Amino acid sequence: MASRKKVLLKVIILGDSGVGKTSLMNQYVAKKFSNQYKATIGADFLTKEVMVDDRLVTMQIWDTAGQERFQSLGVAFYRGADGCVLVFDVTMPNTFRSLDSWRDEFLIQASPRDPENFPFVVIGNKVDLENRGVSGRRAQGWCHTKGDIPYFETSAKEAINVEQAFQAVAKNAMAQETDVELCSEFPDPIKLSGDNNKPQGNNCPC
Amino acid sequence: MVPSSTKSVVFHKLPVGVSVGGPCKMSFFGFGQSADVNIVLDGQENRRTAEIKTEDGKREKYYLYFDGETVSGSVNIALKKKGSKLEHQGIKIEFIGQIELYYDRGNHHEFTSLVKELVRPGELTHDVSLNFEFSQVEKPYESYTGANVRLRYFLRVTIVKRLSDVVKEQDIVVHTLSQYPELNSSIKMEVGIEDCLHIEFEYNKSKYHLKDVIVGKIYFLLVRIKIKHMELQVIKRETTGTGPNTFNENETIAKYEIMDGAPVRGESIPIRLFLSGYELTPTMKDINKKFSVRYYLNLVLVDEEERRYFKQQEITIFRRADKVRKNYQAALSHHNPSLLSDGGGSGKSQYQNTEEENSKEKDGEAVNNDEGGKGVI
Amino acid sequence: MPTTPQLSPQEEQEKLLEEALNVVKTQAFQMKRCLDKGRLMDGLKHASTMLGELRTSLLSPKSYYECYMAISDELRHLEMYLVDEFQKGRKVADLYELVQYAGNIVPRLYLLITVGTVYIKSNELSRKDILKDLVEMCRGVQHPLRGLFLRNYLLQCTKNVLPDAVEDQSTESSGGESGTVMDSVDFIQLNFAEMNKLWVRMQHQGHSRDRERRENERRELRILVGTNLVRLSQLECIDIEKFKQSVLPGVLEQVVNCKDAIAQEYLMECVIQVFPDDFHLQSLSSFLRACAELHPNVNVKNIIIALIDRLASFAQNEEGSGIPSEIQLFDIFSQQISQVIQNRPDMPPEDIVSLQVALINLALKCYPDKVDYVDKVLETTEDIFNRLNLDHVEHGSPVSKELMRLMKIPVDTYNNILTVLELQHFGPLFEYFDYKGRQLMSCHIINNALENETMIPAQENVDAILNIVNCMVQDQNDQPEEPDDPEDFAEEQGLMGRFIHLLQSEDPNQQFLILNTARKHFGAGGDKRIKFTLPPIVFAAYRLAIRYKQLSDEDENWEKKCQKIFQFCHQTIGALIKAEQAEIPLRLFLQGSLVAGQIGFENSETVAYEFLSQAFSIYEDEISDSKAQLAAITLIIGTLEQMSCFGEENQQPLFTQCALAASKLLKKPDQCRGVSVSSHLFWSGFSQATDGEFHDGKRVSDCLKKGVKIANQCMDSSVQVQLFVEVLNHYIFFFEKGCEQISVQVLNQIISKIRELLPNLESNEETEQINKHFKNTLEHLQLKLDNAESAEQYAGLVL
Repeated sequence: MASRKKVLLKVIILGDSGVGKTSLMNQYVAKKFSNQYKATIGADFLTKEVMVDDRLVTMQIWDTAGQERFQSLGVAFYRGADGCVLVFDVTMPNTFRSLDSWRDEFLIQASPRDPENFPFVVIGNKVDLENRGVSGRRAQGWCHTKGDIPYFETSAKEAINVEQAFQAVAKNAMAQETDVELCSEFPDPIKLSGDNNKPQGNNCPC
Repeated sequence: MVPSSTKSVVFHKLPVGVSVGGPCKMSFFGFGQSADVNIVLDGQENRRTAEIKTEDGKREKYYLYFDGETVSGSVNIALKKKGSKLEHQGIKIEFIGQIELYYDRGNHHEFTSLVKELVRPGELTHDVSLNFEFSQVEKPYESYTGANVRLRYFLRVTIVKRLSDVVKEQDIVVHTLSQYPELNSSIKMEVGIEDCLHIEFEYNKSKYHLKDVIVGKIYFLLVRIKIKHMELQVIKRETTGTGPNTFNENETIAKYEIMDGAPVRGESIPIRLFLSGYELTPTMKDINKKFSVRYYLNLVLVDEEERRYFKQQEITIFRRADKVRKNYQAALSHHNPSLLSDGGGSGKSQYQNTEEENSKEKDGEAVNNDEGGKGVI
Repeated sequence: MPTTPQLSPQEEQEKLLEEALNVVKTQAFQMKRCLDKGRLMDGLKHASTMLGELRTSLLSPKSYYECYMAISDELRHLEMYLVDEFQKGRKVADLYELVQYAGNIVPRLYLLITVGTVYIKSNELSRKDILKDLVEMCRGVQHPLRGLFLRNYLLQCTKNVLPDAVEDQSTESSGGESGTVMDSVDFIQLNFAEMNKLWVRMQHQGHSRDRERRENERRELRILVGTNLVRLSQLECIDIEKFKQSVLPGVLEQVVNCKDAIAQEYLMECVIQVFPDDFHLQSLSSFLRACAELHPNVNVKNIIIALIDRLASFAQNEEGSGIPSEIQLFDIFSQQISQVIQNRPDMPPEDIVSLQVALINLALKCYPDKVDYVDKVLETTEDIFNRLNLDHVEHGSPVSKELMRLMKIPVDTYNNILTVLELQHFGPLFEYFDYKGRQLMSCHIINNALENETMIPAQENVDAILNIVNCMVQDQNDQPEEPDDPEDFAEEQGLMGRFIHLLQSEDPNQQFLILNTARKHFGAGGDKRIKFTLPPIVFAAYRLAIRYKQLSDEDENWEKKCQKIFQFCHQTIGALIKAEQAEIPLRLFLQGSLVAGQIGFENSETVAYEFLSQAFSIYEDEISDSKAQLAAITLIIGTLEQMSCFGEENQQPLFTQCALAASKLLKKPDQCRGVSVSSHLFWSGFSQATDGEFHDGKRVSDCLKKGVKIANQCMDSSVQVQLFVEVLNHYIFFFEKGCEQISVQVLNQIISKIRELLPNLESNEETEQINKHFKNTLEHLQLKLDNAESAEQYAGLVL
């Protein structure tokens, strides 16, 4: 199965309302930026094809509503995510403080196989603005305590570092993907060959 | 979830590569000279074939002929014992069209029977190849295999002998082609049960060719029952016999869900059913006074208590002469009959459309309500 | 068969969902395996079986959503495969027709949408035709839940392929018309109308006892309907003109005509959220007109407030270009809101006020300089109250809370009471509160002034404010019978006391008027209030007198004015006395006396004398407690000692009077202490003759001797020793100042006397204190003895 030519990666963008999740996605996928603010309601994705380590990858990037009330059906779309981008606004310390709960909520709802090593990326957005409220060091520190999450400071407006941040999440997600493919989620095979005809359930080595 | 009858139709392609040739009736007696008889049709390497069911339900492929087409070829007779001669009372070939009613075994009704003498009585001392030709043969009916009746065409070579003839039969398939009918009006009707359900439906045509698409619309004028779903069925009715001995055999060829859930007044539901995936034959009426095959569209509404409401409309199925067709046009086709609402816009405008409408084929014809769920289906 | 335990509905759901997801997983696996092997038909068959799970009627909306998500994730693989195949030129003929053979409509339409999207992406057939076909064919699913999800899938799949160009950009290679942005608008609008119909229909299906559950489920599903509006907002070719002409009217028509409260409330908010601010600005009137036509159960105020909040923050946004001047934002809102209120006679007053709150926020944020806009809102509110015959807004009621919110906004925004005073209708509206409400609001206003140190520079301002916060100044007709908690009351009045210090004008004459006005108001506050409020006025008046003195060069009448101020103070203090106050008036008089003495205007000696003698009168007439008397006389003595304005003829009687009063104190210890303190008058009091301190050693010595004598008479030995120690300290003070009448012997005598008495004292805490005091005193003396400079003076001291 690992030879399947095309890989589909599901990446979720999370963060408080107004930190620029939609702008980051639009900048990354369509190279567009608009000052107009349109609140995101629900969840929506865009796809982009990228090369990661010589493999063609289709990234399916899910933009989400920062306000919970716009998520009336819950967050079932977290399921099956291969990567997660946590975004805060460097001028708004409260959006940085929310990262903890976004991360926790994601891990609970998405329940990935290996939560400790799940590929997160943290983005401090809006570095083009002057009134900075969260220092790079502080953000780095938080990322460090959460298992060395890669940290990027971006400006969706000026297209600073956006490409790099998403490339990082794709790369890390791919790394996990190849690990996982070996013990894939396919239904247990029923082997008919003679050397392995014991009932599966009694094979427990303990 | 997909009914098994359609499942196979939808996604399985027909097997390719067939062997052509019917069983050869051989002599029961092992002594004396015997011969292998083989019929080779002219141009058979380029002739189209067509599939038809045999009596026991197997599919066979035979060469395809049309009405008025000459059937010619050669009969090859190979002697089994070299150096020994075969005496015969003559060799002939027949072209036969016959109707077999399964309940009347052995009593075959031949509606066509042509004979050509190939060789006068005498002796065959070596293998021979004998040409034959039935020029511009009339083949008035289409080959058909049904539940109770079969209509078949075949060639039969007979080497007449004193004790037992050597007989060889070879089936062919005949398709009857129709020109596109000049008059092909749509089927429109308002039906209902008073104060309970009023619908208006329209099928774009009354005559469909075998690869046609049925396009239509159901418009709900009044809904006071809780409908669960609605389906469109294509029903084939094979009628055999006459008078008190008439047999009807109904077969649901297609069962196609066209609506899920309960609509409200003003809703209009599109119909689009592709026929080419189903096993259909042209409509046949009173074939040689022996049998008929008719097709009906059955619109069935099922309510939450599993009560079924239905209305059957006969349609004519024909085989079309021309074959080229822009597929995508059909794939996207919609029925926008003038009578019915176009479905767009607000409920208000929909309602007005129906009020203006006043030329229905029949007014308020009752829908059959079959509470027990038995009956037609 | 084993009996299975009854599952709770929750568990039942989980079980059903799990089963469904398992089928999805298996079928998806099979599908992908078939695709990997290039067996498209088999792959489609598995996809169709997988999609069969979406035919269920058993799952709740949330569970169905999970199932839908899992399936649509898997369908992405199918789509990707097909797009790939098409790109490689491996077209599958008639695929669009082929998938339409699926017998069941739900799987069939999901497949049709998936394939349709692939056709569009691969430029097969006409994009416009396919979109039209898909949105039409979806009519077949009339089941609300399944239909909503199906159409949501349609929206999701077509997201990136909707035509978004002003002109049709078809080329030879594309299968046909690719359409324009208006085709996309039609497509979405139709889908939106159908989805909304399905959503609204849910309300009317099923049993009425399930209504609550049904409404909850509807609220959960709203996001699916809202996605249509998101799609509209994502079309880049929609400019303001198209929005106004084509997009918004269609949406609003649908929303208004559906006559469903849940749908209307949500969709209107969606419109606000998903479209950009400049679109809203240009289409305000039509949006607000639609608001007026909504179902009576719609909480229309929330919608309008959401819009106002959004535009208000837009106006403040530094990035935003602000509100274009040609848009009379405030007027539009003001008119439309009053229309909404008129259309809804049953609207609760608190909601009406909430709307006014939003309006006032808008005015303040978008037009910070336009006080009259804010005032207009207050006026409107007042009118509405009048119309509703609402003259008493009870504290704690919703309308009171809203009104309080409304009225705090200008206070907290301006952070300047003076600006608030410019609002003509602030005061009148204030009167609608009941007592408690007025009290809380008054505190809020006063606190705001204090926090911002807002100076009140004119008499009229003072008048106006004190009229507004009248409930903190005077008794009210509607105040409760039960008096407030004394501590709360003190705190509240303390605020007023502090506030008085903010009543300050640059111009002293104005300041005098201010103080007069303040006294007029506060003077009527009753006995329990004036002790908090009049003293600050008196102090402010003293400060004013000092200012006149400083300005004596500029104002030739300053002395007369000073005189007038002291008269004002005299009267004011008099009012406090009438309120049976003693301690405060005494101190105020003494302070006045000091100030008058310091300023030294014409007649100031007389004023100072009068004030001091008033203090004496209070001392004599009003203070009866011995301890209080001692404290008072100590204060008087202290004051007198500081004063230098008196001539001999005024000073001596005062001195004598002090000493006499001290010696007449009732209790011996008080007498002793009073007399000892009075000694200081004769040493450091001011002498007109020498223009310096008196230094009358004889009288000092007399006083102290008298003190010793009185101490001797003391019966309580412990107190007696304490008094000796205290007197000793007085002696040492004067000895060190060089008072000749006090010798080392005198000190020795008292020391030995104390030494003699001390051991007899009972050992207790008090004795300990005395001992310590004495020891400290001796240590001080020892230091002096040890110090070379002072050793000589202290020679002979026996320690």
